[in-house]
Amino acid sequence: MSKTIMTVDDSASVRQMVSLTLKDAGYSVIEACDGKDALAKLTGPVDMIVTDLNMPNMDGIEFIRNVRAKAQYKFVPIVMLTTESQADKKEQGKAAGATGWIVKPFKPDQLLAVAKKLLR
Amino acid sequence: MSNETAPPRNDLGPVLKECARSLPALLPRLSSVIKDREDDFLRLGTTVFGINSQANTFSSTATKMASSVGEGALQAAIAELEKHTADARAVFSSVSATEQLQGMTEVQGLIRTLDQAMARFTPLVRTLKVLEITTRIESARLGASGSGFTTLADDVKALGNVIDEHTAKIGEHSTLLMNQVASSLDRSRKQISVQEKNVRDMFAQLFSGIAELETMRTDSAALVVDLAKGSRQVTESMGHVIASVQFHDITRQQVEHVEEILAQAESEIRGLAEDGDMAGLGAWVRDVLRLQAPLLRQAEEMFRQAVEEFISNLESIADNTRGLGDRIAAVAYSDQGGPSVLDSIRRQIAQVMDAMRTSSAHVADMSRTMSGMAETISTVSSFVHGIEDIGAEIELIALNARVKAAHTGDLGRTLGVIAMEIQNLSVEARTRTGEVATILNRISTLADRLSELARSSDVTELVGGIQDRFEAVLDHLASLDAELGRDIGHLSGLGRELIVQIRTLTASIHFHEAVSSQLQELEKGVLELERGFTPFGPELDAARQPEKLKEQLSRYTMDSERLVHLAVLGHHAADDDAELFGDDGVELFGDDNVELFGDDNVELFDAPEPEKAPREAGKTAEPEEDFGDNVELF
Repeated sequence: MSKTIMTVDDSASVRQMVSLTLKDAGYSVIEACDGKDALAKLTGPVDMIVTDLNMPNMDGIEFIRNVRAKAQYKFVPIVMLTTESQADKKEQGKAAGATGWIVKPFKPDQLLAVAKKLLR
Repeated sequence: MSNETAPPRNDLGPVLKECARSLPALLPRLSSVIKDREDDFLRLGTTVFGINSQANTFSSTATKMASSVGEGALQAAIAELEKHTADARAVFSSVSATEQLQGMTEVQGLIRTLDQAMARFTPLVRTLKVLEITTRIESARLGASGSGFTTLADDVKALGNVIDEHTAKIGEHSTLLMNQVASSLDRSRKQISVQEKNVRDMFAQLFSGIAELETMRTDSAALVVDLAKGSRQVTESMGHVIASVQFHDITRQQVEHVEEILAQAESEIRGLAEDGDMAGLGAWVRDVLRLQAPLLRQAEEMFRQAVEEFISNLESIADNTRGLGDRIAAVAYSDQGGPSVLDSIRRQIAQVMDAMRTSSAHVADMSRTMSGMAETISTVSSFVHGIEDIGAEIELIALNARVKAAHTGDLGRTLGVIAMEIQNLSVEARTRTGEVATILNRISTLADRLSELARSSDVTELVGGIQDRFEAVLDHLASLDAELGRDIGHLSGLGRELIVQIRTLTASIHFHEAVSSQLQELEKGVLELERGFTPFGPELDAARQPEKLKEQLSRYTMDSERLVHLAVLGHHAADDDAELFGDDGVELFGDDNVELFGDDNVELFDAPEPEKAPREAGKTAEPEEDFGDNVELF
């Protein structure tokens, strides 16, 4: 059974790139347009989350805190995929419970290598 | 003095008002300029992943081919064909009739010896005749007392006739034997000559064909290495293409940040109290406008470059694919036209098989000749058997003659001499028949050996086995060849489809020109507004708002924005933040942005938990992974 990865981004084109990259590699993908939407969709098993930082309704940091508060998703790897590259933002993400950080734009190989490492 | 340094309130007011009036017209345009292109990018994304999927299939097919023609099944099959050919040559050589030729030449020599031995019976018969006549004369001379000697003369005569008769028959069969051997020898000599030529020519052609096959395999192996390399380049280019698509989101965010700060500027102008700090606001608005123009220019450049790189990378994929297609056409077996090397090898093997069957038929023919010789020898032996007892018979006659001579007394003394001569003949007869028997035995033994040699050289069954093995390996090779041909055809087809898809896509992309033009217009609009502040430069410089600018600097999400900010407004606007950008600078997402994240950089979860243990246990043995500079795992 394939692993399920959730992609959270307010940009439809980024969601599309993430989703198609992961689906091409055999993963199942759940898409959400912001943190709030993602929390609502976080009802079943998810093996990894790829989330943007700056999003309307609920940003990536708050979303991660909410996810980590759920026992079921406490240890699910969460990778931030964002244009943000400042060290203090990364620290905030890490403190909130992020597992990794990818600065946009990503190349498919990079995302797949990260997924492979975190999901093995 | 105070009038000279006071803010030019009345003059700056209209400039700010103009900003407040113009910005609402700019803001919706800013809002939509990139965002409205999302559908274009989504369409691009869908098409790109269709192309990516094709490229991946291209790559996996090339990889599969590489393992097949490299050191895989094709190489093994060619090696097997070469081994079978070497085996066939060894078998072919083993059926050589050289030994038979030598044997038959030896038989010829023995037959000549036999003829000579038979010729030595002639004086013996002649002597018998003389003795017969002498006996008759002596019998007549003795008159009545010698009448018994007539019977003796008759016996001698009969014996001579028997020898005559048998030697004649042996002579006839000896000639027959000689003819059989001579004829077989002649055929064998011709066969050996043809066979040696066949061995030389056919196997040379066959090995040459196999060598050609191996050359083609190595050419194909080189091709698939190129294909695999080319497909890796395609995959790499696709990575750039997919990264380019994300610049819609990146530039959208940058333009949104421009929109936000300009909206804030408009709002603050509108909210300026009568006694508010117009100079301070003017200074801040001017700096904001001064900053937004290059930010828009940068967004325009990033967007345009991203789309241009998108097109360029796709076209590079198309060019690369076309180049690989040309390489395929140059090497592919199936595209060469005319008879394939495998067909030639199959024909050459059929010729070898025919030659082996001919040789085998010849060996069977020799076997029949040997059987015929055996029959002739058997007949000759029966004739020899008929004269084998001549010596004993002569001896009996001699004994009879001596007895009769003794009875006759002195008158029969002459007959005693005759009896002695007859006795001598018996010894000679025994010697002659012994010689003939010995020669015939030697011929018979040699014929048996040649017959056995012929039987053991009958490779009819072996030829069948060899042919079966050849057929099996040729069928396997043909199957691999067909598979390779199909893969190459599939690759060519995929390549052609990829090129068409890419050309169609790249030819249809023009929206970036419109976006670029719109962003340039917006930049002009911002610059125009900023120019309104030019007459107030010194006053506004004195009233700058570093804290607000610093706050703005902290709001950027991208290093590219921060770089523009610092380049335009300098570090003085955000002295405390300057340290954010050390000597290493900020690298955008070019090819050099790859950074290794070793295991020390990877922290998975703060608290130990059951699931973590095995992963961490194995972590120390893992090699460092290179995700790229823009990736970090905590």
